[in-house]
Amino acid sequence: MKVPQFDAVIHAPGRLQICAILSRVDEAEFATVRDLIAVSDSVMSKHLRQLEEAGYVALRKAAEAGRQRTWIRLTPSGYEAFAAHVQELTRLAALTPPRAG
Amino acid sequence: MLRFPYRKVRFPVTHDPGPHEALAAVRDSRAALGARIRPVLVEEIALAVATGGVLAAFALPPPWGSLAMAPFAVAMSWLMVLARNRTGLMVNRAVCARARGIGLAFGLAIAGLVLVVILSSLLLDLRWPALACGLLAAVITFFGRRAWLRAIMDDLAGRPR
Repeated sequence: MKVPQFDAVIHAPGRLQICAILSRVDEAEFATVRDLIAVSDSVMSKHLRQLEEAGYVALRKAAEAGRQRTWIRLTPSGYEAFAAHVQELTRLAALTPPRAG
Repeated sequence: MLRFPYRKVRFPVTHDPGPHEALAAVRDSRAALGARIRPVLVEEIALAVATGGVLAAFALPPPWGSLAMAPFAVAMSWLMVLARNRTGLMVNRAVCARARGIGLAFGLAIAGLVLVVILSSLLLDLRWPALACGLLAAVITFFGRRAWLRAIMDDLAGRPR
C-alpha cells in the first residue's frame, strides 16, 4: 500500500496526463502522447525534461524505418510517485466537494 | 502566426487543478489511450494466420517444415512491430486481472499446442496434428488477442466487466 503523497512535479497539468498515460503502458511514443494530451512539441518536451530531471521518466531514442522515434516510459520511482499522488488526490477529493461548473 | 492543426485541447486543464479535476484528467487520459489501442481486423487476421502457420509448418517433412516456418515467424514479428508503430504504444504489461488471465490462458493454450505438435511430428511422425493445431492456434490467437485488447480497453475506459 502506497503512502498518499502530493507531488508538485506530477500535479502540473500536462505532466499529470503524461504520467496517467505512461502508468498503463510499457512505453509510449513521443508523438502519441503529445497527440493524446493535445500540446505542442515544445510544451511536451518541457514537461518531459522536468519529469526526467525528477527521475520519473526515461527516454529511449530509436531509429526505425529511417525515422527517429522517441519512446518514453515511467521509471519505478515514477510509478511510485504517480501512485502516491493519485492516492493523495483521491483522499483530497473525498474531503472536498467538486467545483461548480 | 503559426497554427498547429492537432492542437485541439481535449483536456482543458490549464490552471492548478483541484483534486476532482485532476482525477478526471487522469481518467480522461486513460480513456483516450484505450481508444488508441483499438484492434485492426486485417492485422488481427494476419497475425492469427502467421501464428497458425508456424505450427502448421511442422506438417511438412524436414527440412521443408523449418524452411516454411521461418517466413511465418518473421511475419509474426513484423506484425507486432507494425501494431506498435501504428499505435505508438507498447502494452505488453497486462494492466488488469482480466487481461492477465486472458494472457495467461492464451500463452498456456499455445504452449500446449506447440507441445502436441512437437510430440506428434518429431516423436510419432504424424503430420496431420500439426495442421489441426495450426488451425486451432490461428483461431485462439484471433479471439484471444481481441479479448485481451478488449480487456485492456475496458480497464482503461473504466468500464465494468
